[in-house]
Amino acid sequence: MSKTKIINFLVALKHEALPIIDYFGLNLNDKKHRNIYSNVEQNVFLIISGIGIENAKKAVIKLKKLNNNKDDIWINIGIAGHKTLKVGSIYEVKKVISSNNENTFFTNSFYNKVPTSTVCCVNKEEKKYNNKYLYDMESYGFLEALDSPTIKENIFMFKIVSDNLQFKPKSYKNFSVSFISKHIRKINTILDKYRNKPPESFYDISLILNIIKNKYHVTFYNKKKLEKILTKIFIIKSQKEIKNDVLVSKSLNGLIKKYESYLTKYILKI
Amino acid sequence: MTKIIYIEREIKDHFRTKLICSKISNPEIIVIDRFSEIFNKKNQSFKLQKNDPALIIAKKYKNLIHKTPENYGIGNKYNYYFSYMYNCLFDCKYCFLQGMYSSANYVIFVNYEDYYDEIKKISITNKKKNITIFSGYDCDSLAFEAISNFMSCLIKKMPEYENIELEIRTKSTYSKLFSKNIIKNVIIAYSFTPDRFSNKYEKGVPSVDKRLKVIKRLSNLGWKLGFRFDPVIIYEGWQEDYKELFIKIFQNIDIDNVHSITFGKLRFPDTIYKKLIKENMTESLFFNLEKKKNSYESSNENNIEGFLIENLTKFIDERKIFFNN
Ligand code: SF4
Repeated sequence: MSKTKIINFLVALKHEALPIIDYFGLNLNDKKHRNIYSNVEQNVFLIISGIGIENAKKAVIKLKKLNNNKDDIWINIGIAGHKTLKVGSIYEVKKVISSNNENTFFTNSFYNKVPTSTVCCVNKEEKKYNNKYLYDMESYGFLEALDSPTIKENIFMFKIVSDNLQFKPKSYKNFSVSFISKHIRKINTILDKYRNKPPESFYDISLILNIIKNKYHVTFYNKKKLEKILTKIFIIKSQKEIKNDVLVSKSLNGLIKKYESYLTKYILKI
Repeated sequence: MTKIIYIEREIKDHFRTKLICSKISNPEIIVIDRFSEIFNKKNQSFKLQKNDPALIIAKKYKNLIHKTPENYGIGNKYNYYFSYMYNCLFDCKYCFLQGMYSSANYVIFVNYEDYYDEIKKISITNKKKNITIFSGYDCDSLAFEAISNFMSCLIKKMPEYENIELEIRTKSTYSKLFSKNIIKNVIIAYSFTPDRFSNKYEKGVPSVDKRLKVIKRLSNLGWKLGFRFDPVIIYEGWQEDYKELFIKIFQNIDIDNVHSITFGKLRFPDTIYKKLIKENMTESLFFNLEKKKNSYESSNENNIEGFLIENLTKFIDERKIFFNN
């Protein structure tokens, strides 16, 4: 089992994806999914959703079919408009509202040394900016599709200001490539902080379970029970000791009982 | 220190909201409608949030003060508790808050006056009764005081409410609010586990010695003190460590100022235990808890009650000692 969490990127357009594809060495691995790029070894995936709330939603659902672990990290990167904010500056989005929907969505609540902002997600290009919000067209769909069962603390969103009342880039394509390239290292450093899985996720319980299965018939109920017990036993006994316990055991019931009693009699060591 | 602050729209311009924000350097403020939009939602992880908790500033509308369970108390028959804040700056591995909430972000309710009014109401409507009000159920009473200033305002009002005793429960060393002018119906109650355990399992909590230094000062001033050994933790060598802890505490203070001592087993109601264990499967602190009717708790085999009574009565009158279970 991998020690790092999977990262799933969602971007709206190919030119927003290019700097990420380049930085993480992603490839178009699956001919069936022409908009999904990945570096399986590094546990990094990216989907290009297309513009709009519905497309973003569909893209999350599609990528979820490939990666559906509760602790995966999901991140939306893109460009956004604002009335006054400096073009090229980056914001971490903590709250998303929509011009047409009642719901409000939130991302993680961590401080990542990046200024934060609220996004107002719109269906068509916004002409009248409210100074309180950044404007984009995908964030709402992205978060709506992730609302369950992804843990909020694993959801991130970064927006780079592409235009304000004073400035519009000549080419959004060039702007995206250039400014996402500029910020991607910083974003990766932030994500790195959250990628490590807690150690309990990678104790080699499956190895012991296989040894047990080779020796005894294990029902589904007992498998679940053993998983719970072994998670704890791994904290207080070495793998070698556990293997030996299995080898010398005379019945599965006996082994389970032995461990249950071992745990209730366990005295904490400091 | 926290940087991200969510603020309910309604109290965005409340003077106390502004005061709290002014004590945090360069905060990132996000305006919300109600704190429940982001606090204690299904898909949140207490454990992950605990690494970097944000602050939520909110207003509490109802259920500000509650009655305690029947047998919970320190001598009075009528007992209440309240929390002007949810969650804690410290990180004790056994803290029941992690089983109570799915969110570790701090929520602070800035309508302090409504809490003070409730206390006043309880005092006035129960004139002939002696009442204890406990603070510090969903938080540590003083750990956030430098920013919140809640207790500093409350204790000034306490002399008016003679029929009420206020217990301020804490593991913090913050004591600026306790001046030479002692307030007779305020009990400052310190929770302890032995140093060896605390160093490892109570992240952020000041050492026993640091707390004792503060307690000694308060004892010299004449403040009423409480000592809370709740939970008592069973581990290899616990009895020796607890004996040492009792000596360290009670040989250093004026015993006459000890208002009460309480102790209890490590115990959790079923629902809290199940939530807590989900995120702490490998925490060996919980391995040997026994399933009882509606709870999980330390085994009776260790005779915590007998051991504590025997060793505490070496210093304190048994009538001041209460076993909470
Ligand atoms: S001091 Fe109390 S409230 Fe705070 S973490 Fe420890 S047990 Fe929980």
